[in-house]
Amino acid sequence: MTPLQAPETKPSVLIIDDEPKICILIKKFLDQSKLFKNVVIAESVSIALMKIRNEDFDLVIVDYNLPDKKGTDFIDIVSKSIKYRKVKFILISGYLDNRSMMDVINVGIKNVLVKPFTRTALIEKICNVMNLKNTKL
Amino acid sequence: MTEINDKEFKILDTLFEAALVLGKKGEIKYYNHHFSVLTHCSPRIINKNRSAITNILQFSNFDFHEFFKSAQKSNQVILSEELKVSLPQSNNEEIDLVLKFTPMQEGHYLLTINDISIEKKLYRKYKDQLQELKETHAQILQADKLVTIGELTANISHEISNPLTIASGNTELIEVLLEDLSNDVQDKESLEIIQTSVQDIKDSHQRINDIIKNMKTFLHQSEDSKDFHKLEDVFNSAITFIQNKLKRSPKDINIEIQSSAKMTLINKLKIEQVIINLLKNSIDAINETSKPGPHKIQINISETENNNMVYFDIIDTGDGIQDSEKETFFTPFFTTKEIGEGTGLGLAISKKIMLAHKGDLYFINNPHGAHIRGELPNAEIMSFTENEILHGQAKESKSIRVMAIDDDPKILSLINSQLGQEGYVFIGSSHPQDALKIIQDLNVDVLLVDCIMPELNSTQFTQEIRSWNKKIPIIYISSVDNRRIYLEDKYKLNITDFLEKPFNREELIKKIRQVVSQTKQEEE
Repeated sequence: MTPLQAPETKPSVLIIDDEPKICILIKKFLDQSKLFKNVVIAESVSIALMKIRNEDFDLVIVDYNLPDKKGTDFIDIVSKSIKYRKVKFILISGYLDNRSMMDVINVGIKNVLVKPFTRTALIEKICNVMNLKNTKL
Repeated sequence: MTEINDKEFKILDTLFEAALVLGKKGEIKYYNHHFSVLTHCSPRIINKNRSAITNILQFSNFDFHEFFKSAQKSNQVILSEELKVSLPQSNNEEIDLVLKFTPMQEGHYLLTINDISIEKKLYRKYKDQLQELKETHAQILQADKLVTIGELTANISHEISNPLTIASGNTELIEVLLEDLSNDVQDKESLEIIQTSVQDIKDSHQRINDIIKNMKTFLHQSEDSKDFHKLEDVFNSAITFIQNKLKRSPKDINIEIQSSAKMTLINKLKIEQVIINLLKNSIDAINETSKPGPHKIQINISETENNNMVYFDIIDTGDGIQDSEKETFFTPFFTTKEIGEGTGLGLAISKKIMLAHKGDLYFINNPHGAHIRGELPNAEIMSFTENEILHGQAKESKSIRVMAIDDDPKILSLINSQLGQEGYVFIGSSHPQDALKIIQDLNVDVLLVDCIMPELNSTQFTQEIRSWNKKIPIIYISSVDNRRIYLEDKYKLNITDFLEKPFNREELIKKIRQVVSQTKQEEE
């Protein structure tokens, strides 16, 4: 398989989902695309907040329904800090009803991926958000 | 003539109901005072029609003479059914009666007339109200049922989506890895079998996926269709509906609207129903209050600070909402009105409608009267969320976001329905400034821009976008007169195309397809 054309500094990604298998799957997808420097997994908002304090990330992929808080809460907390100003977000969710969609809009997320998503859809979305060129697609 | 032979009939004048003494042929021998009151007939007219009682009382579906004959035959006390009678002497006013024949001596008959109009009217009124109550209750039940089905579908699809993502994702991974390995594998036959199996698994996942998506789409479509409307227009049409109530009100009520013309994507009928409900309540409250005038209902239409929501305030000068009522205000069957006046369902339904529009309805503390606020997402947010949920994930290749900026709600509604059928994600906007904000943090694939807009014209608008180094393809839409604007801006601002109003669906879709494929080629 031909490696995808990557920019000089590869971005790092944080994945937050309470289903470990989903995290591992996304990690596999991203690792395999060879577009990213570092892919880290967190299973709850509190763990994710610890991880984002210790390490720099360029992109956070976060589930909407999480055990301790909502994914939107995480984004709300993080995006308020100047330190994380440049972090981009993608929200993934099984189902968004009207109300939760408003939550999503209100914290300013415009990139939503609804489960079940395909590998291609995920990579395409990420490239779009991060302004990466993906030569394979 | 009235006093025919005997004074003994005089006793009938003391009766509290209309009574007649009839001769053998059904002619009026004597009538009491109450009969002339009931029929609105002067003695002169009654005397003239002594032998033709049906000129005074016009029966519908009832043969008076036939009935009289059968009464004569039986020679017993006979009651008629409830009868509908119109009175020619009183503008054909309709009353409800029961007739009672009592045989007297010498072939005379006493006819007493029981006026049951008031009872009938009450009966009909309560019957109607009961019917109305039943219907509204059925509506609520139906709405609740839909909500339950919706929640159920949401839960199911949510529960399935995680394992399905894992299953289909891993299958995809296997497929890619298999591809990489294929050159190293010696046993081509087994490889082929594995590849076919993987493909079959993928197809099955796709089918499960489609079923869930169809479920969601179906649910979405069962809700009502929404169109673009200016909130102010909806208010104005609601106010025309309550004009009658306003006129009948004993107090002079002034309705004032203050509006910053905001566009929304709503089901007009339903939102109108909410507004009518609220305005009616306000009028009732003002009618009941003992506060001195002048009385008015103030309507403010505005938007929230983050620009995502449009809200309207309805403030009246009535007695306001009691603290004790606040808890139960929006619950079904809560009413402060007289029995028979209100169903207590209006506010509960109104709140449901607003919630279904991703908005809300609540009251605000105000010492001067009732203050109710309704919130709705603005047109941009509403169209984006609606379409993103509906089509966003339908087919990846098609999730193309098209944004149109036009201050005419009809054009936006038209494009919305035309593109919706094709599975595009459509975002409608009436305000160039709001549109710019959305384009800034959302990837829009195609922009349709009206040449003539409030605040910014299309040239200024495009200049702003180009100044951010955004390459989004832009199509101008306008009447043929404005073609020159397109020609002027075409090279300067890189405008891709011009769509002439009026346009049909084919033209619109064709232009967008062209633009999208062109952009793809350029990128490659």
